[in-house]
Amino acid sequence: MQPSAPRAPGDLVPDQLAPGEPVPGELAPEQLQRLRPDRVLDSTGEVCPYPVKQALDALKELAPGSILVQLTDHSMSTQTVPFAVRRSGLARVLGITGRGGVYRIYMKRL
Amino acid sequence: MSWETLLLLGAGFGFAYGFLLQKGDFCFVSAFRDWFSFRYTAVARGILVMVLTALVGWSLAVSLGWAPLDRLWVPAVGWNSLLGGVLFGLGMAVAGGCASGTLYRCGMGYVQFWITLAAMGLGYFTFAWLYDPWLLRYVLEPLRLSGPVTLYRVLPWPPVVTGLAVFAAIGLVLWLKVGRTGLAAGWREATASFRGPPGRLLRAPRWDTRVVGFLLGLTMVLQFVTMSVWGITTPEARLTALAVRAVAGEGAVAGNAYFASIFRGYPGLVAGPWEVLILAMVVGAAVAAWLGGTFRLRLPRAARLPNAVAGGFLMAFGSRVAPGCNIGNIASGLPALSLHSLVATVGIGIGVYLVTAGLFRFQGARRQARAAAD
Repeated sequence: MQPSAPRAPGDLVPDQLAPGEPVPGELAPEQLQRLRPDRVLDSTGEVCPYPVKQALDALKELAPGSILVQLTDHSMSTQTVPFAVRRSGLARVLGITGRGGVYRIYMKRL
Repeated sequence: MSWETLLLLGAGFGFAYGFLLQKGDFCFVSAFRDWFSFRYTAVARGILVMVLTALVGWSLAVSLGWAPLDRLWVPAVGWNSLLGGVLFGLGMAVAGGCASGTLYRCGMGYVQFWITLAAMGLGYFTFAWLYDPWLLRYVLEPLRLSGPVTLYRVLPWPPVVTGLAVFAAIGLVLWLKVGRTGLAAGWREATASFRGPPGRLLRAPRWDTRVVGFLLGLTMVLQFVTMSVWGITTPEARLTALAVRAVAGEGAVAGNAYFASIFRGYPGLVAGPWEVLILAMVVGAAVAAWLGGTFRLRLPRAARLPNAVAGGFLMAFGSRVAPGCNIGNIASGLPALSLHSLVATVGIGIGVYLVTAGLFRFQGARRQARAAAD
């Protein structure tokens, strides 16, 4: 993995995670930022369980191989959305970035 | 212990609770709803660790004479334990946050949970208004089954024996379920996540829920030895009474049988250590969120305001009927081995299940078919 630039506290990227905490996705933040999303889903202002439902509904409408980026400011969703999406078998979770309480969850439709 | 010392202790414990709840994103609704929906158990594991830590710590403290057994919160048992639990469970699932979740998210800058908190105030007020004679005569008294019941008083041996026996029984069930390797892996994961310099840990956006559960349990043991058990909704009801007094005058509170009953033992109609504790929880959560970079003024969607209002109202009303919230009954009531709290916890589970199945239809529950396009 490339050494990454300094980030603000709260970035949910590997070098800011608590030591030992699993990296939430497969790609480095730089790779995530280079992705061209097929759909950006805005779930800011929503709390559980709505972000999970919105992510799954959006994924169902996408073709295989499409990239979905979900925006959320609900910290719990950075845990529950990846978990539910992986479990659904609808998509791979490529990674999560975040700053100042807003997160982007990158998913690739299977 | 002097009133002033208790006020300081309340502030300290409240700060610690708020800080830890935020760091763990310790959402009791998730523990139920997300397990029903898609078997997500991170918070449920944290709660289990917290309850077991308090169970061992409290029973040991009582047996060593560090605290009296009377300090445990053990209310009378009745159908109202179940009914109040169900109402509270419905409310917390609709609101998307429990009593403690609402407070730590208020500190994180969620406007939606400030609205939930205000609606809870309305719930406490409505309960107090209907209490005497309606609720007392036609609901609470008819539903009552027995006096307070705790296993600690039922069994003849010292509390620490009971506490350790329950701990061993739950440990055995876990052992049979996940095996020695599963328990060891859990231990390794949890402890590995908590290594590193303190500055880095403070800035981490979240901590492992099991570590947070253990630290919450330790804080509960310290609070138990020095002052009391942890509660949220009764102090919130007292703050509601103080708000009513500010608006409608002293008579409106002093003349209400319910409000008068919850200020028993207080030096007057004042905010005490337990009210300071819950206010300090909001501050602790705000500091934790700010350090972790997750503080943000979060504006809700207009479409979710009914969730906040209805959920908050139901939570508060249910917490008075039972009595107790998720903290009173799960965090403080289960380690007290109180029958009331066990029944209320089952009720909370039923309430969350009903909302998860009925309103949210187990969102995320089904394993979806692979893409049909190919």
